[in-house]
Amino acid sequence: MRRLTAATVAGVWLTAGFLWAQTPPAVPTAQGQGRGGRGTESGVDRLRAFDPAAVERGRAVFGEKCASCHRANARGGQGFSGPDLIRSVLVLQDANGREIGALLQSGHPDKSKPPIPLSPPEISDIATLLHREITYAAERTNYQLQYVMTGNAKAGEAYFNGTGGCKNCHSPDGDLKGIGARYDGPLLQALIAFGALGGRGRGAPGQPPGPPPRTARRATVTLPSGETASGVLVRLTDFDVTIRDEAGMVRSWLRAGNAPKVQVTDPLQGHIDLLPKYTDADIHNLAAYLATLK
Amino acid sequence: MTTIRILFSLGLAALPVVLAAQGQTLDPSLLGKPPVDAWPTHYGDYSGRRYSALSQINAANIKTLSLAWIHRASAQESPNSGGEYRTGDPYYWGGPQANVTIKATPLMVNGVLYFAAPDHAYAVDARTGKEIWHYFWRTRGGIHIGNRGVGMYGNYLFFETPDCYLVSLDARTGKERWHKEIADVRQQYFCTPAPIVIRNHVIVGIGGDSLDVQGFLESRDPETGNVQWRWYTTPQKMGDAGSDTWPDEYAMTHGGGMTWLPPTYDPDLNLLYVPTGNPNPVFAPRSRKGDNLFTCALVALNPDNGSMMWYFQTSPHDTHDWDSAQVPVLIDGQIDGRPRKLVAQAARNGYYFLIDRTNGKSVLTVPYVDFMNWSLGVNASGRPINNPAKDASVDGVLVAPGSATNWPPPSFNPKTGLLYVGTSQSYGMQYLTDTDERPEGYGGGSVGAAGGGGGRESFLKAIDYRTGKVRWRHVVNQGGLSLLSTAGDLLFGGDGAGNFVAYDPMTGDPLWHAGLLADPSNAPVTFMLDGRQFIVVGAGDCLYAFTLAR
Repeated sequence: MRRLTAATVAGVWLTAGFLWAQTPPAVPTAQGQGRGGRGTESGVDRLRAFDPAAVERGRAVFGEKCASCHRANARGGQGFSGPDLIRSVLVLQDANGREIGALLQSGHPDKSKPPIPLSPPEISDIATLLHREITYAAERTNYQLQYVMTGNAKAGEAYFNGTGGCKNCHSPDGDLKGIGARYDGPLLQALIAFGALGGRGRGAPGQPPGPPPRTARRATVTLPSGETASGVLVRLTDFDVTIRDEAGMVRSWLRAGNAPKVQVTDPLQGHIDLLPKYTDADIHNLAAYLATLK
Repeated sequence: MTTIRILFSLGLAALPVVLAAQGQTLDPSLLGKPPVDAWPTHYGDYSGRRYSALSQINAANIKTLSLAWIHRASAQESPNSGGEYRTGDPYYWGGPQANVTIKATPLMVNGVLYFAAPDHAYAVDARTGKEIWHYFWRTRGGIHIGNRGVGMYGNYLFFETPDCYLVSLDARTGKERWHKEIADVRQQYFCTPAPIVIRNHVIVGIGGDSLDVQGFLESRDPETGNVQWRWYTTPQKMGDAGSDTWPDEYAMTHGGGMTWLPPTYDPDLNLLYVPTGNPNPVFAPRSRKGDNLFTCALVALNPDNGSMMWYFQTSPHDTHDWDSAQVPVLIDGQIDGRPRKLVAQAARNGYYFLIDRTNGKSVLTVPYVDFMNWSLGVNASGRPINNPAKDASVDGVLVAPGSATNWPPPSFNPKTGLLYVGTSQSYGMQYLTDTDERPEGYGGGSVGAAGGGGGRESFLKAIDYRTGKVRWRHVVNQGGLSLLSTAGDLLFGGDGAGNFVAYDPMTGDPLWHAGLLADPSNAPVTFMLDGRQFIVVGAGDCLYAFTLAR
């Protein structure tokens, strides 16, 4: 089975973003929309627009001719005489190497240095590299996690069986069997903290019914007649409640005040209750323990 | 009794306001008055309360509130257009969006609604919902996340574009008068704020926390668009005020602090109240040790010259993307039996701040969320104390709240003394992704936000402005709520599930609702027109107008 990884912050965001929309809005929300430009355009797409071969060629030339002053990552800093080129206004305003090329060919801005002998293709590759690095820094959805597992598996196991009470719902030989082979550390930590990745099995109308995931919230609706109906909670507001029942049928009722009565059970309540209690070490240790369950 | 006191104390009565007789001209005397037959500024008046003295629509007749019209805003290009985009422009990457989401608070002047969306501005007949004109901006790019609305001066409208131009239109025709660059989109600025007009100052904020640029607030001339003054949110050089809270000039001049929201304004004190955004790099503070003034702060400026009178930092050395760009609400209140000029803010970091707006001294700082772990408490001067153990790390830290509230504006009702705020008790696992000695951009991120408290995570809360105590809370589906209070004993806002709701301001009980095609996405406004009170709210690409059935 392929191991799921949260390589980037975006990767986790994409799944974690709707983890806790506990009663899912039936309509798009303003706050749920991304920061992209046209339609679905995202930072990832912007980064893909840079020719990887040109970026790599640019990196090689930059390493040879520029890095001694600007640092290999072009950010300058302590011990480097050249400025940060990622935040350089000239570089930010450059169009495909035009301004960078003009500057380098007319002589390095630091006049104590000789003109840098660079061919037009080399200048173009350096410009591509720098614009790629700028786009990376400016687009947080591209960020690569630098995660290293720091927890203590033994301590995690003790927490699992003791203070955390995790064993009341989970078992290393049952539902968690092989979990360490299926998820990387950041995803394990997201599962520990929030209990689920991705949707919670809303069973929304219009979707073919499938077996609801065990993390789905369930509701029991008690009508004034005393009749009850139970199922996966689809929607709950002050004015209506919608469930999908065991037969896969969507049922809804109007609400006024607290009638009909709606009793919601959340399988993730144990996770919710732990959130204010966790130390970061608890989460790191639990992740280290779960990672051993291959 | 001073002017402002008169205006505030008369806020309960419907003040007749004389509008200029001709065209769409906005009578300057209207600005800053409690809105009655107009909604002439972003907040209605200058106080940030989003409170209307109107009561034709009230708790007794709310059940008969009915739809008057729906207006769908065009996402198409318009022949009435402007913009700096040229074919082949290498910086162009975004482009027109397929859809419009109305986050702008519309202005209503002389029967016409004016609002904007990224790359668009509109005039709509407030009686009928029919479009009067539509202006389209050909963009060079920039993040198209939203537009908070337009400002108005006489016949002139002002709005900002995602590629950071200030555009002035003739309100009568929608024709462009001029446009001026505010900031360079190529440096990753992008602009969402609504300009606000104070006398002959068009106050213009900027946005853009992607790549470590400097925040500033500007005043521009309404006739020419020329800069009257510019106030940077961070010091410019060592020796400047606040420079001792940064390690070096390089850090402070790349230190962020965006001015996402229009300031509020006290005409009596002649002070603007400016909330500032988070410092940069956002989650990676290694290169910006210190408090990082004047980011994440409330700052009082003189609108005539931009000079700073006082500041109060609400998130010193922020490391969690908690821009303090939440509305500073001006309250003329009573503390310990004495009348006080106050400013209140429910900040994104989970604290409620009450400050003396004459001098910036803290009156009160208390949490309004149930649980927070990023702060170790509050010091003697009311400033939060950071918990450095909750700075983002490579192996992840669990931070609460994730984001207690955000830009959707609160409302203050002087009759109840309650500040109404949409809130979330959320959690995030925050990771540091940039471990370089010179981190750049966000440098990290938050993963997931979780609900606590055993049920749903988001609440509409009513905060007693004097004590900060939460008087009531009402469960909603999503915490970003834009709110409006009226003297009709009503509180209008969304519920995060596509309903527009009138709540009882004393209890939070819903009294009326309408299911819309999308969740309410802007702040509702209200005004009188031909003797009838209207409530207008935006949701998705539509404006909805409600009035009493007759």
